[in-house]
Amino acid sequence: MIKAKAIMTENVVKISEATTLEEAAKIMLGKRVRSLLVVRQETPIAIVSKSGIIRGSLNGNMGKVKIKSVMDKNFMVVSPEASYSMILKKLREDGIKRFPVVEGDTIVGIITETDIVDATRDFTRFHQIMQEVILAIFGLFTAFFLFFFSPLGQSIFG
Amino acid sequence: MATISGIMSADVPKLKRDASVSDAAKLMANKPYGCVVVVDGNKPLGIITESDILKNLISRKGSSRDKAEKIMSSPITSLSPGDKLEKASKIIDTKHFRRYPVVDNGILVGIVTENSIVDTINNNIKFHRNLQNTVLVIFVVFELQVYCNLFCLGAGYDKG
Repeated sequence: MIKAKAIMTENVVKISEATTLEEAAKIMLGKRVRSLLVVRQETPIAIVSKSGIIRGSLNGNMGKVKIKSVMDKNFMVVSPEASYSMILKKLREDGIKRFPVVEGDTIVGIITETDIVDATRDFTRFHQIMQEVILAIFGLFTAFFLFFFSPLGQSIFG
Repeated sequence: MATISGIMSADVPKLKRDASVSDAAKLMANKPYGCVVVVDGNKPLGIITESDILKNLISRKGSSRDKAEKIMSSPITSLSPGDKLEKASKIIDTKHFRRYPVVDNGILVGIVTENSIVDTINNNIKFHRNLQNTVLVIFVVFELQVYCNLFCLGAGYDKG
């Protein structure tokens, strides 16, 4: 079973809710991340995305507006042992796109929609390879079966 | 075989080349794709992502009154409506973009996300796997039955 720790991004960038939109945008571009985790004493309280900052910038001065006004509380904390299938189900059925991974009191990673899409691609490739291997084995088995009962096969195998 | 036309959205967020960065930000805030395609008529010229907007917003030289074409990336990497998903998957492997405008004979006709391409391929694989498993089981049962019949007949002849 694939676990959260196998697909999470360990590079979690944390900010406080007092951060301004401008600071958040600079951090996001500087660290090359698509979202920031808003924490209060190491506890995740929200997520800030690029689209949230853009929406906030339309309503005021980015240097003064705090990210508190644009942060998104639609996230779900998971443990490193949480299953990929459960996370995928939450994404598909409940529309939750971000999953901070917390072990005890420590934030150890984050899973975003991008991580889930990447993992899905990897598993799809794995399934394709497995499918081809099964087909090859079956093909060999069938070829042997047909040969075994053919006149030539009967003369060889008795 | 599934193609891009089956999964693309025709509701493309698009702007004229002389629109402002502010217009692009407003459009982006109201649409779910996180990008805007800059067009000349129906011809795609470039694409603006959320990162392009943020860079402009925090840049001292940038202004929300700047023209969209100033911050767009061009030329774009596009797909055709008739492209197969496997081809799209290979393009994703090399380009690593999350959204692809769909262009038919130079005309912008839609937009498709990496997510929808991957999901559709995954669902197709599941369908084929189930179909393949069913066929395999039928063949194995048939082969076992033939083995069994031969064995039983053989045993019968021996006794006779």
